[in-house]
Amino acid sequence: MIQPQAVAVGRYVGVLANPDSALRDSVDVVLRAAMRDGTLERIFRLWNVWDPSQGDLFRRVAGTALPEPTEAIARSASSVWAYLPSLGRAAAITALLSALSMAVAVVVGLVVASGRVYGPAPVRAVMTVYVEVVRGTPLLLQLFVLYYGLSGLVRLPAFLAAVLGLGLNYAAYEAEIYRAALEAVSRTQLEAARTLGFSEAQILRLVRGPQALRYALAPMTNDFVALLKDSSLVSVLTVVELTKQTAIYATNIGSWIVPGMLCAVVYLAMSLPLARLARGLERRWSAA
Amino acid sequence: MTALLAVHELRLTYEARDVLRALTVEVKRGEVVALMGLSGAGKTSALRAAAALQRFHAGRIVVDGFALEPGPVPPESRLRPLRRRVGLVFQGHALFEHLTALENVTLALTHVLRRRHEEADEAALQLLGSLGVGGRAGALPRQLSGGEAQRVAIARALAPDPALLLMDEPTAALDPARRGSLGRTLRRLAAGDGGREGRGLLIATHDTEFARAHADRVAVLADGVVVETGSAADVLDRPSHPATRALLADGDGPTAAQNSSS
Repeated sequence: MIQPQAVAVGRYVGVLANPDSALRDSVDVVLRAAMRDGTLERIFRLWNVWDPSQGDLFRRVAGTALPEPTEAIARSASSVWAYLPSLGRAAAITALLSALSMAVAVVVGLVVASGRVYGPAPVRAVMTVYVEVVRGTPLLLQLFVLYYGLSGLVRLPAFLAAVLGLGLNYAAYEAEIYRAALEAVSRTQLEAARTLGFSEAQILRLVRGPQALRYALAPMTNDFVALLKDSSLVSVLTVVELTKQTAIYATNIGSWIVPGMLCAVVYLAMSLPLARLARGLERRWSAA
Repeated sequence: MTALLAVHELRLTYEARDVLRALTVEVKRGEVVALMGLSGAGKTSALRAAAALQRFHAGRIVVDGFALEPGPVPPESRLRPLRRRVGLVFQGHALFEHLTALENVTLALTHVLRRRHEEADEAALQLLGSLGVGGRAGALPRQLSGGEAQRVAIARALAPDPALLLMDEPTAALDPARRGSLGRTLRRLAAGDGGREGRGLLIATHDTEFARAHADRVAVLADGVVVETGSAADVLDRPSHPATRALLADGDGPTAAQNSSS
């Protein structure tokens, strides 16, 4: 039961950890609004915990000026410095994740492409099914299956699952690039090599491979740019990479404007040089 | 003297058509033989079969003691002895596009014959020099003129020192002056020089003027068989078969035109 008279005056105080100062601000905004429009008083009365001293407190607290929108932007602008280190770390994770995934994609892609070009019929069939299944289903679904779906069999660390998921997905696309590149090398070049007495393995290593690489480099670079951006999907596996970190930042300060722009700038800073490289490679080899 | 290349009753079917019905032709060491015929007569198919790039369906091909039988082309591992004996110069040269002229020539020396790099470079430079393209050693194939590329391709085919050299339309990309100098080069290769044994050359061409000037023997191919064979002078100056006359009448570019008017 509740005492009708006040025994002593007490206040409830919400305490948040220091890095959550932005969340604290958001909570304050909500509370102030509820004080001003009477919502909070209604709730207190509903639970029978209202007393006149609350009114004084409400007037004192809600009476203080709320931050104006311009101030909010100024605040989020000044928050840039506070959030830059964590964004930098997240960008490094995105870069590392993309580089490792691409390495997986290149190695697996080479195996799949070799299987499709040189393998016996059963190997070709298996590789073709792999490529079609991976290309025909959403990456997001593949990530879910790999991380949550297989968790009964093997519990992969989130980062490893992310690298494998992205890498195995892009491997299918890489395999198609390599296969097309290998098949683009003219038959006459291969026949010329055969008349000189090279083994099939030597022909691949000395003639077909190097020529195919010229056809493959530009599309590979484009794929890497795409992978860099698709890496944002692995936030669903609890990996805090650039996009996820940006979302945390934006939620904290209650605005996407500055975090969104910062995030875009970081992605562009990583992808534009690669896109330039791809165009350069294309020009160089098409002139050849 | 047994022939370096003996093609006997070769039948070769391509897309349900008999390209060659019963081709019989021989090339001896030191001999330049021109395999002549109109476009589509099967000259290229015959060279490809002799170089084990193309299956044939009946007959027999023996290259310096190594026999090829009808049926699918054997795997490369079983063709090693043949590859050492036969060089093929493709029409349109087919130089390795990603390698310089020098690397095109040294690649087989270092990777098939396992020569040391310096040794291979030296041999290749000498070969390129003897063919008049020593100065183009560092150029990529796309930087070479048609005549230069042709010579580099010959150097590449000759680098492993094959006894038999097959050439597909070697004059196609050359102007008349270049044809004369190529012809002299081929004669030199056939004859052997500096104590080297002579080679056998089989040249697929429809260039009657070139054949007349540089071939020891001419074999005229029509309807999948050799319809006329003999010395270049006998066959081309006194043609007895309609196919040979058609070949002569067909002309072969500026050289033939100049010749017939002079």
